[in-house]
Amino acid sequence: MYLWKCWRDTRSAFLGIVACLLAIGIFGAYVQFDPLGWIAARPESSRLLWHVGSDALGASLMELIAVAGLILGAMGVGVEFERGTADFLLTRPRSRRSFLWTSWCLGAAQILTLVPLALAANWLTRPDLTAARPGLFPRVPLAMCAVALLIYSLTYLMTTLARNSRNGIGLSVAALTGYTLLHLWLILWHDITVPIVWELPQRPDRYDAGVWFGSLLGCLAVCLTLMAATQFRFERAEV
Amino acid sequence: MTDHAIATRGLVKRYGQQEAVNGLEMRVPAGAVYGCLGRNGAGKSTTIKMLMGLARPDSGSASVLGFDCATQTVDILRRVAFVGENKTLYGELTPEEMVRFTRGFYPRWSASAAEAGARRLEVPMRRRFKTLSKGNRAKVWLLLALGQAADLLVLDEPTAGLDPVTQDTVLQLLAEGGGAGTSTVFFSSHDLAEVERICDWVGIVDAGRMLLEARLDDIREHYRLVIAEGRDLPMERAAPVESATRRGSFSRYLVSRDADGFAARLRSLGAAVTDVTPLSLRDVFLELVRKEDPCTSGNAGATLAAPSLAS
Repeated sequence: MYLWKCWRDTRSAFLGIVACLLAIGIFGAYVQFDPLGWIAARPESSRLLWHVGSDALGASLMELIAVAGLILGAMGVGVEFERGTADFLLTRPRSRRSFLWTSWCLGAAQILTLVPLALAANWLTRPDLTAARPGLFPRVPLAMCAVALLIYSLTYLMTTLARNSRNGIGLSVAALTGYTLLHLWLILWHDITVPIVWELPQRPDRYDAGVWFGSLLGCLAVCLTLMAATQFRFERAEV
Repeated sequence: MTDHAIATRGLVKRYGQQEAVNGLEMRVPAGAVYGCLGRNGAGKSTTIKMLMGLARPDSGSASVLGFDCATQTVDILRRVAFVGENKTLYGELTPEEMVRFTRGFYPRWSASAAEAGARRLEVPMRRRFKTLSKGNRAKVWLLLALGQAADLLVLDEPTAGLDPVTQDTVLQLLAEGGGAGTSTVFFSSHDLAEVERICDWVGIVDAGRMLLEARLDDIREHYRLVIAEGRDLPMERAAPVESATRRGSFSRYLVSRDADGFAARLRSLGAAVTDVTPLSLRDVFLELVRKEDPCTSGNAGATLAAPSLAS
C-alpha cells in the first residue's frame, strides 16, 4: 500500500520529466530527420540555429537526470515530517525501514527508467556523436545510472536529516558543490588527479577500464552508505 | 491480554533542560475507558508519543498490551488504533482513498465498522483531505482508527476543534468502546466534562507526573476536601492524603477515603476542622494541579517536620 502512496506522490514529477525527455527526443528527431522539409527550406544560419539548439538540449540530458535525482530524492520518506503526516505513517504496523526502502526503491526504479529514455533522446538529438563512439555504449548508461542514484540517495539523506524537501535539496546541492570544489582543489593546488563522478558518464573514455569500473563500484557503495545513514537516522527519528 | 492495557514505570522524557515527562507511573486497566487529564504542557501528548513509538523515553519503561514500547513497537501498532494530536493526513487523498490505503496494513480491518463510523460521523468521503475543515479532518482520523478493530484505542485530544454535535457523536462512539472488538479506550483531554461523561477511570497528570489515578466512581463517592485550621499540621502526601496545601493558618487536604476518620485525627492534633466537602472531578483536578506557594504545597513533595498522619 505504501508503494501505491509513494507512486501517487511522485508520479507528477516523474511523468513531467518523462514528458520533457520525450519532447527533447521528438524535437531532436524532427531536427535530424526533417520529415516535412521545413528546416531544409530555411536559410543556412537558421538551420544552424536549429541544430545548435538540438545539440544543446541533447548535451543537457545528464543535467536533467541529475535534476530528476534531486526532485525524486526530495520526495522521499523525510518529507512526511514536513507535511505533518509522520505520526500517521509511523503508527502503521510496519517497520520504519520498510517504509524507507519501499520509497527509495520506487524512486530508484523511476531513475533507472529515466536513464534509458534520456539516452534514447540523446541518440535522437546527436546520432552522429553516438555512432562515432559505439564502444562507450555500456559505460555511459551504467555511469548515468550510478551518478543519478548517487544524487538521488544524497538528496534522500539530506531531506531526511532536514525534515524538509527544499532544505534537503539545498543541502544536497551544497554537498555536491563542495565535492566538486574539493576535486578542483586537489587538482589545481596539489596536482592530484582523482576520478570525479561527473566524468563517469560524460568522459567515460578518460580512464582505463579498471579505474572506471572501480569508480563506478565506489559510486554505488557510496549510494548504499548514504542509504544506511538515512536508515540509521530515520529509525531513530522522533516525531 | 495482561491486567493492564498500558503500564508505565518511572517514564522520563527530556527536551533539552525541560522534563516533559518526569517519572510517570500509570496503569490503565484492560477494558477501561480511561481519561488522561492534564493542563496544556502537562506531558500527556509526550507520554502518548512514547507509548506509540514516536518518541524514545530517556529512562523508565512502558508496555502496551504486554508489549514493550521500546523493542516491540510493530507488535503494539498491530493491536492499537491511534488518533494523533496533529490531525494532518495526505492532502491529495480523499477519505475513501485513505481508508483503502490504511486497511492494507490491518488484516483485521472491519469494513462494517468503518462504514458505520463514516455514516455516524458524516465524513465527506469523496473530498480531498486538504479541502476538509479541521473538524472533518479529526473525523477522518477517528474513522481510520475505528476500522482497525483494535484491542486498544489511543486518542490524543480527539474532540479538539469539533463542533458540539460531532463532539457528542465522538464521545458516544468512545463510550461504546470505539468500535468492533476494541476493549480499552485511552484518551487525553483537558476537558473535564467529557472525561466525566464517558470515562470509568481517570488519571490526572501535571508537570509530567501522575498526581492521581482512580476510578471515577471512587472519586465521586469517597474523595473529600478537608479544611482545617491549626498550627504545625502535617503536610505529607501519604494515603489517604492525595494532596495537602497550606494557606495562612488553614490547611487543605484532599483525602481519598475515610474523610471522617482523617478529620477526627486532625482534631486530636488540636486542629479545628472547618469543612469536609464531597468533590466533583473538577474540584479534585483543580485541587491537585492549582499552583500554590511551592513551600507549602504537599503536591511538590514538600514535607514539614510534623509527623505523618498516615503512619
